[in-house]
Amino acid sequence: MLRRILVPTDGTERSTSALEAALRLAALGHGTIIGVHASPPPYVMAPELGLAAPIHDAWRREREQLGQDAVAYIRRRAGEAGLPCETLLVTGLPPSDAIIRTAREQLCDLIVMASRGRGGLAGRLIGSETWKVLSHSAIPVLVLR
Amino acid sequence: MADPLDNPSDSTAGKPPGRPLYKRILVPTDGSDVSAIAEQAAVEFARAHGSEIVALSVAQTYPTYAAAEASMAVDPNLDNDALRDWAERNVRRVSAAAAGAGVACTPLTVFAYSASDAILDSARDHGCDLIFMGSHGRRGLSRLLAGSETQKVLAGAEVPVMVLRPKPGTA
Repeated sequence: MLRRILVPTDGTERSTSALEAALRLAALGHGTIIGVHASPPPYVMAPELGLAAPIHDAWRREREQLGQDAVAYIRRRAGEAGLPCETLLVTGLPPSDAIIRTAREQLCDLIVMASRGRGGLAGRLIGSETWKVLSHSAIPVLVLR
Repeated sequence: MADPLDNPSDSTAGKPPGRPLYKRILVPTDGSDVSAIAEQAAVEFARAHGSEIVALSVAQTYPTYAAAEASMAVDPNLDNDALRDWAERNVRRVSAAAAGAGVACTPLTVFAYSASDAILDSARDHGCDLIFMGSHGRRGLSRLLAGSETQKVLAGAEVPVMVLRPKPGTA
């Protein structure tokens, strides 16, 4: 049975089908939901010059709020399902790296995620971050549309 | 605890064994070590969750030129027989593992040009609600190539796909 199920969220509705599947699996195996939101590194150029600082700060605040909202939704759904839940925000890493690292550090035995998230090219068969997780993760990944 | 049927909002908790979360799991196998990992995990998952398994082996045929065939005194059916034997051997292995774990298993072999198309068609035709796939964890270009069938299945699947990779150093 699955004890610790990692559910990455990008804060979009694409993550919700993965969350619902994770909740059902956790309910069957008395598992814990680990919600994670990964903020990618900032795109702002040359932050060390200080010129971009106001833009950067605004961007960071917005990202932080988005991440908080995303993991709060996971906590709420897990609470409604009566399941133990822990959530994390990871910043400064590409999302796929953050997801794999969190899975390892949190001793998760499954990752449940959507086949694509917010970014990327519409023409791609599968989201690039999801594909990177699939290619590198040592633990099983359940992929939902 | 109240019957989950009485409380639809709580239908996720403690499902009775008669209504498994995933009823039928498609397990494609090509006889490789990588697919053996997926087979093993699928049988274990099916046993724990009360699911049944559809074991699929795709005998991949290659388009041949009629003229080339005619010029060779070769019966293409010989090739097909060998392919079918190989495919049946693969699904028998899964059937045996499933039987050992007390999991119901439907063996399935199909001839197809494309493994991913065959997997997607079989999932649909047999009402599978989950697919277990092994994926190669190679580096660089070969990683892209080795994973391309998995990628096509992921892109085309209407149901969730469980992707498993061999542990580092084992394949």
